Order: sequence, then structure tokens, then C-alpha cells
Amino acid sequence: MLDTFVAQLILQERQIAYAIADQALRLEQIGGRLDLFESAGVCTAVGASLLDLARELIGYEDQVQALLAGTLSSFQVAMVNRENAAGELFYVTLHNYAYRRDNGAVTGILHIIEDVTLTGKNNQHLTQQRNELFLLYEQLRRANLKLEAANAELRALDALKSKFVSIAAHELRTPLASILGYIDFIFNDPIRTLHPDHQASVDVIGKSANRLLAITNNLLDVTRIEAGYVELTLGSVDLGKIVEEIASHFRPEFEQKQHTFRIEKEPRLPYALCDEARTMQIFSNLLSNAIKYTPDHGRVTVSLRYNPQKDVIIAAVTDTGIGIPAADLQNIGKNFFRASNVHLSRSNGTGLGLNITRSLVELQGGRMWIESTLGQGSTFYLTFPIDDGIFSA
Amino acid sequence: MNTYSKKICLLGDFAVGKTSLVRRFVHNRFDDHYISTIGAKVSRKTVMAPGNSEVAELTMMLWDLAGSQEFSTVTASYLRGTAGAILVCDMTRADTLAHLPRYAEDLTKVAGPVQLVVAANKLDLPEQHQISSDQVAALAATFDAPYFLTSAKVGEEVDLMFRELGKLLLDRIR
Repeated sequence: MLDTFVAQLILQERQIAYAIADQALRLEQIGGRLDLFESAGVCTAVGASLLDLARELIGYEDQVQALLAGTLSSFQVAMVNRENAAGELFYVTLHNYAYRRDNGAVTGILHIIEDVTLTGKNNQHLTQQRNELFLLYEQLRRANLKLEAANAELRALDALKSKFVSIAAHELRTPLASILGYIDFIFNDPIRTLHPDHQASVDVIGKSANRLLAITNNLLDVTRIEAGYVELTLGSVDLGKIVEEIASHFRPEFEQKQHTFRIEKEPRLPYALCDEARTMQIFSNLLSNAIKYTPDHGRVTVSLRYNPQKDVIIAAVTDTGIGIPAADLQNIGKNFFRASNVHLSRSNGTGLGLNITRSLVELQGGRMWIESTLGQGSTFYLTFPIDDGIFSA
Repeated sequence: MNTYSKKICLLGDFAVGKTSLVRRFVHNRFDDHYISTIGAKVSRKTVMAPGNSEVAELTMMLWDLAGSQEFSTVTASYLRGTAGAILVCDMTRADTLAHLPRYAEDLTKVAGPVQLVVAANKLDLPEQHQISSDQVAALAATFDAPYFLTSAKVGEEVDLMFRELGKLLLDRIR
């Protein structure tokens, strides 16, 4: 027989309470940690029903009958949630045994209730975290799907816009070519010379048509770059010659604004590996800007030097122009962006040229950056990869 | 007047609102804060259930079980003696509806054919719904079970659902 002291010790140490019920499920004995029975409406009095004490056993009638019949030795219901009188949650496991007397006959049920709150709370904490993480993941996944859908819609709209701009620009070029052709014909007609009163007007028409052509070409370039349709023909290019050629095209503008122009070039400059036509376009854009945004009697310099550490040619187009406000520097080169002080130069522009320039430089494996001081001028730096081993004379 | 006690289990994925449905029905309260259930929480509510010729008193022992798709011996022990079950899904999470047949299957293995009811909860969040009432109806039809679009938050159809289940359980024994 179990010593009474030992039995009491086990009840205390294992945090358990017990109840013994007879064949009619009436309570005969109750002991141990009685607070574990404390749920609203339970009755712990001897003679009360075991099902009132442990109402979780309702539904387990078959198992209870099997215990009383001696055909089942035990069953348990684990991790049952209960609340104490203060409304605090605690967890118990209900153990149910066939209760046998000394002669071995089953006379009732031994119901043991074990406090498993510590395990229950730890499990609850872990499950709570796991479930909350899952829910958060689900929210993020859904938000991501929505963003992807919105993004796809924006991309489709952007593609539609690019297509429209591309078609419109393309369609504009055909009539422009006719206009420019006829203006050229009028100016160069060997039979009928233009009346002096009309010459200036036709000249304005010609300049406007050329400007419109430049804009449509820029728009086409932007849409091609955005769509990834720009094809480059890379080859060995003498940047010095390119700059000289472009500068010669701008001679009338330099003279008109009385700018001084200078090329500073290293004697043995390597050839660049780039697309000649696109590189001409790059320097044309930068020199056009330098002239445009530099007040009369200014200075424009293009320097070309080789950086052996990075194995690139660094071109710098420097002017003594109006400069770019510091706040605008980060936006220069974005589509349609023009610096807030461009009105000082009293010149037109679309804000596309630098975007095209930067894109073309980057497409050729280089990069572009700008240094500028407001009121003093700007320098546009470009890098070009070199074509190994070939040096200009 | 006859009195009956019946064990009713609430089954479904975690965070679909099983605990909230029980709390709304038993205490007419709602708490927006999600607390996951571990094991089983048993609540009791007695209702008067009308029948064809008599009114009976039914004590519903409501077993709010931890939401988990894993079936174990512990889960099986909770399901023994179940007379009826509410299969709960969350209308804002499509997967929770898809998982209900699995819960019904596990329940049937342990407790045999029991009266089922389907609850599509969180009706109050229509802008987040991923499940339509037609989908709920179609699934409920496969269980030959009535369905309810519920909101534990505002109480929509909660009382009606529990009482209807109670009535169906009593109809089975009358």
C-alpha cells in the first residue's frame, strides 16, 4: 500500500487533484489541489456528479461506461483550457482510470486532473508567434499580388504611351521632311530668287521645322531606349576627331554668342570602344546645351583624358554658363525635367536631351555625372570604355 | 420537458474565428485581438430547442479546438463523442474553405457520421473576401449540411447557426 505521506507529496509535487466517483458517477472522495476544479458552476461536494465536476467528460459516455465495465483501463483528455475565478486561463489534462478495490472489482472512476499550464503557455506562445507570422506572410503575399497587378497595368499603360509617342513622332517626321525639302528648294532655286521680304519668314519656318524635327527625333530616341530597341554598332572611335567634327558643326552658334571653344586632349589618347553615330549624338547634345546655357562671351571646353586605373576615357564638357541649382542636380537627366533656372538662358528645350545622353552613355558601358556651381558653370563628365591597344595620333 | 446534452466541436484552420464564434454565442462578446487556442476550450450554453411537438432543453457543450491541419491521437481524443460539428472557414482566406473536407473526414473517422454545419466567418470584411457564398454553398452541399455566412464581430447569423445546429441534433433523436 502507498504510504499516506508519499501520496500527499505526489499530489503536491505533481500539481494534481483527484476525485473518485462510484458506478453512478457520484463523487465519493476528492483531494489534492482543489483549485484545479475551479471552473464556473462546478460542484466539488461529495455526492455531486463527476460530470458536474468535469463537464468536459460529456460526450465521452462510451469511454466512461467502458471504464466502469472494466473493459477500458484509462483514457485522457489533454490540454483542456479552463479559467479560474479571476478569469485567468490555465491548462489541465484530465486522466480517467477504472477504479478498482482490493478484490480487483471496478467500483467507479478515478479522475485525476493535472496542471499543465506551464507547458500550455509555452505552446500557446510559440503557436501564437507562428500563426501571426503566417498571417503576416499572407497579408504581404496578397499585397504583393496587388502591387504586381498594378505594376503590370502601369507597364501596359506605359507601353501604350510609348507606342503612341513613337507612332506620333514617326508620322510627324514625314511631313517635316517635305517641309524642309521645299524650304531647301525655295532657298536654292536657281531660277526664281526669293523676295527679300519673304526670305526672313522662310528662314524662320526652316528653323522651326528643324527644331520640330529635333524634338520628334528625341521622342523617338526616348521611346526606343525605354523599349530597349536601341542597337549599337561598336567600333574603335577617335573621340578627339568626333569632338572636332561636332564642334565644327556648331561653329556658327559659337561665333554668334562669341564663345571661346577649346579641346584639351592627351597626346596619346586610346580609341574608345563605342558607337560612332551615337557618340556624335552625345557630344552634340552636350555642346548644344553648353552653348545654349552659357551667356555671351563665355567659354566651352571639352577635355579628353585617359584614366589608366579604371581603363576608361573621361570626357568632360565644361562651360561657364548659368549652372544648375544644387536641388535640381539629382533630377537632371530625367525625362522632361528642366532645371528651375533655365529661363535665364531664354532658350527652348524639352528636357529629353540629357536623358537620351545619359542612356546612350550607359548603354555603351560608361557613366555620366555632373558637377555644377550656380552662376559659374557646369561640367558634364562621361566615361567611355577603351578599345585596347589603339591610340590616336 | 426533456433535457439533452450534446458535444459540438468547432473545426477549421487557425484564426478563422472559432473562438470568437463561441464567445459571441455564449457571452455575446467580441474581442478583435487574436489569441491562438491550444488544446481544447469547452464552453456550455443551454438553449430551448423547439421540435415538432415539444420544446426541449439542450445543453450544448461547445468544444473550441486548436486550428490545425495535422490530425493526431490528441485531436482524435477531442473528437470522440461528438454529436455535431461546425466547420469554420474564413471568407478572407480561400485556403481555409479548401481545407474543410479534411476536417470533416477526420471527424467522421473518429465519431462516425455527425450533423455538420458550415460557417463562413468574417462576413463583415467584404472588401477582403476571397470566398463567395456560392462556393460555401457548394461545399456545404457535399456534406449535406446547412451553411451560414457569419460575422462573430457583428453577430451576424451566429446565434441562428448554433440554434439551427441544436435543432438538427434534437431532430435526430426525436
